[in-house]
Amino acid sequence: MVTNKFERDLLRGSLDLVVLSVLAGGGKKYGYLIQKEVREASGGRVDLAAGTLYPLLHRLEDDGLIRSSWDASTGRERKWYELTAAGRKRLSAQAQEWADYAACIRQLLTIAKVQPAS
Amino acid sequence: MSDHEFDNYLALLSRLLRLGQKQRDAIAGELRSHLEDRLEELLARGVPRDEAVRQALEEFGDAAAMAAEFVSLSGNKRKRWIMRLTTASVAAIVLIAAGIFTFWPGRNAGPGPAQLVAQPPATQAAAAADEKSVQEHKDIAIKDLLDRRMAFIFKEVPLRDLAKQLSMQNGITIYVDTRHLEEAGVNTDTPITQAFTDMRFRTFLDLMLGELDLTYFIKDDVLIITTPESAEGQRVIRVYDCRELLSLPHPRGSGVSKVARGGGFFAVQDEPGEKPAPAAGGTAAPPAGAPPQNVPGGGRADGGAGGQDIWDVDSLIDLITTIVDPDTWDDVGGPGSIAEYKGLISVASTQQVHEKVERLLNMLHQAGGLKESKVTVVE
Repeated sequence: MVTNKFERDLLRGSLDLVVLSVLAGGGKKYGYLIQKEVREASGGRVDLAAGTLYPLLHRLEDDGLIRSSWDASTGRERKWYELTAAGRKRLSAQAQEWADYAACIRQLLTIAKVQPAS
Repeated sequence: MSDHEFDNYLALLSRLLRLGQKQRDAIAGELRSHLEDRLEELLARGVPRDEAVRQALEEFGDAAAMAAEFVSLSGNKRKRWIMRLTTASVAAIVLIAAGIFTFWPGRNAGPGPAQLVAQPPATQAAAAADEKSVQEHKDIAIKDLLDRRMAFIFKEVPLRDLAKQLSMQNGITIYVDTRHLEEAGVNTDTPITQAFTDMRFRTFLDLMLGELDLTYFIKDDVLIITTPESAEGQRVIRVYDCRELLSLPHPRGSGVSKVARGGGFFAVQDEPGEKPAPAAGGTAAPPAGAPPQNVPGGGRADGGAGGQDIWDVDSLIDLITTIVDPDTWDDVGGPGSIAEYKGLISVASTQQVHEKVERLLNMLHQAGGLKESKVTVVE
C-alpha cells in the first residue's frame, strides 16, 4: 500500500492535538508507544520523528497539559506520560477548533467547485 | 543491552544540551529507552543487529538538531524565571532606595559629622554595596559573555528568534535594529543555521552576522544588531590611560637601530644630556661623541626634555591605527579619530574598534609586565 504523507506545514499546526488525542485513549504511554500509535492510527500518513515528538512532549509537560513519571515495571526504565485535567480541556477545545476549521475549508472548496484530485 | 553506539549518540546529544545535569540525564534516559525499544523491534523482525542500530539512530536524526529543540524549549522556561527575578530585583532596588533615602544625611536635621559616621549603621553601607554589585554585575555580564565559550546550535531559526533565544539564554538584552536592516534589504526572517559546540560568543556573533553583512555594538548594556553603516554612525568616545604604558623603560638595545647605528646604548637615555643613561652604566663605556644620537630619528621630537615621550605616544598611536582596523581611522578617510593629551589617548570610534583597541592596549600592558595589566578606560 502506498501511503503519501501529509505536508509538513499542514501537520505543524495540529501536532499538539495529535499527541493529546493519542494520550486521551486512557492510561499512561511512553514516547515510543505514542509514536507507534500515531503511525498506526493515521495509516502511516503521520509519522512523528523522535526529534519532533520528544521536544513536543516536554513542551506539553511544561505547559501542564500532560504529566510524566518514570517506571521500570515493564522491564525497561521508561518515562510515561498521561493527560492532565488541563490537557483534557485543551484537547476538547482544539478538537472543536479543528472540526470547525475542516468544515470551513470544505465549505470553501464546495463554493469554489474544486474537486479533490483522487 | 545498552549498545555503545547509542552511548556515543546520547553522550554527544547530552554534551550539546546546555541544561542542568539532571535534565540532561533525564532526556538521555528517555531517548535511550526509545532507541532500545526500536532496536528490539527491528531485531525481532530479523534485521541484522548492525543494520538495526544504524536504522534506529538514523530515524532519530541529527543529534545537534534534536538538542537545539530541547535547548530552545528551556530558553522559554528560563525567560519566565528571568522575568520573576527581574520583578524581584526591581522590588529589592526600590527597598534599597527607600532605605538610602531614609538615612540620607540631609533628611535628619543637622546631624553632626560624628553622628553621620555613627548613625547610619550597616543598612546604608549594605544597601549601597548591594546596589553597586547589581550595577557591576550587569556591566560585567555582557562583556564577560562576549568572551565566554558555549555551544551554538541553530537550525533554520529566523534571525529575530535567534536573537530572542540568545538573549533569554544568557540574560542579556539583544535588540535587532529592524529599520536599518530592512533599509539594507536584510529580512529578520532570514533563517539561520549554525552549529558550533564550543565557540566564543564574540566569534559566533562575528561569524553569524558577518554572513549577513551585519554587525553589532553594545550601548547601555544592550547588544544591538545592525548594519555596518548604522554601527559606524554610533561613535563612542573613550579615553585610554596610557601613562603607565608610556613610562615603561626601553629595554636595552630595542628601538636603537632606528635612532643610531653606532652607539646603541645611548639611545636608551631618558633625558638627553643631563645624566648618563642608567642602562649604559656598568656596561661598555660610551664612546666620545655619541650624545647627539639621543635625538630620536626622523626629526619627530624637538630634542629637548620630553621628546622621548612624544616619540613614544606617536608610535603608540601609529601602532594602534596600524593594527586595529587600519581603514577606519580618519587619516585614511574613516570615521574613527585618535588624539593624545599627556599620555591619555582619546579615541572616537565604533564599539568594535574600541574593543580591539582595549584588547591591544591590555596586551601591551601585559607584555610590559605592568602590575595593573589593564588599561584604564574612561567612557
